[in-house]
Amino acid sequence: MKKSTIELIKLTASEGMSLTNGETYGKEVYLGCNDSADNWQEIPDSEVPKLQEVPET
Amino acid sequence: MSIAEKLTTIAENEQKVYNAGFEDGKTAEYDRFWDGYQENGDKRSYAYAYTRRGWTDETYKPKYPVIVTGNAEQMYRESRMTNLVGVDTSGATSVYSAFYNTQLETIDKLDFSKATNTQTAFAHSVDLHTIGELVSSETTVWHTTTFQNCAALTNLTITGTIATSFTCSIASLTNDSLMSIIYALKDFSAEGGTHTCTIGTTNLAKLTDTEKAIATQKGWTLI
Repeated sequence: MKKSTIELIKLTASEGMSLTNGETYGKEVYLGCNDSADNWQEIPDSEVPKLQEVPET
Repeated sequence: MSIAEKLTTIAENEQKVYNAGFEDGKTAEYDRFWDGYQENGDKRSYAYAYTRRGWTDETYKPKYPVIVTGNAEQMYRESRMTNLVGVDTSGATSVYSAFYNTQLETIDKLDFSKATNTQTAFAHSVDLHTIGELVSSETTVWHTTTFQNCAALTNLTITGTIATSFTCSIASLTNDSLMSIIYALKDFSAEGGTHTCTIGTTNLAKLTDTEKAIATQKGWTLI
């Protein structure tokens, strides 16, 4: 039997804030094995960009 | 046979002949339209082909298999069919807005393995609840807008490999749908680099830590 412990690193944004790595935005982040908390920072929710709409045909 | 009986027979036969002619005419008109529209089965370029509200479950009855090569941009945008079956998109390189703002509820299978532009592919198709199979490959490019505002999407089965950042944060997705996404994520653990899979806090809460770890151990940051 092989017993292993899997580590999850979770970042949670403060109230009224979001997390971003400069490209992606969210409230909760579970870091991938090659990622680092240093790559993420908090920004106010108001600074999270809205998705762009597509033009009419 | 009396004269009255003969007249009755003549009247009945006349109706049969009329009905047969009417059905033959309908078939001929159907063939004439679809032979032209689908180039006798040779059509491969389907950009804008079924765009707008004139296409419904009643009018969308292609005679030949719909096989797309190259550009499928806006192919079904704002169409009004409810179900889509048997469309071969395995040769499509762009599916930009291909299913944008449709009334589709179910799609049986789509292959985006050659698609390098999936922007707003399903955006605002608010009744779409099931995509039976969506094939991805290492070269498929996913965008943050691919599933934008697909509020009813519940069943989404991804097969193949997801190798670019992926976003589908529709809160109604089942656990099976989420796991199909996680299993499809390419293993970047040895290659390095950071990759993001955005499914939203509601969907994150549906996953156990063990399920989340399948993604994070492959080098994907879950958001």
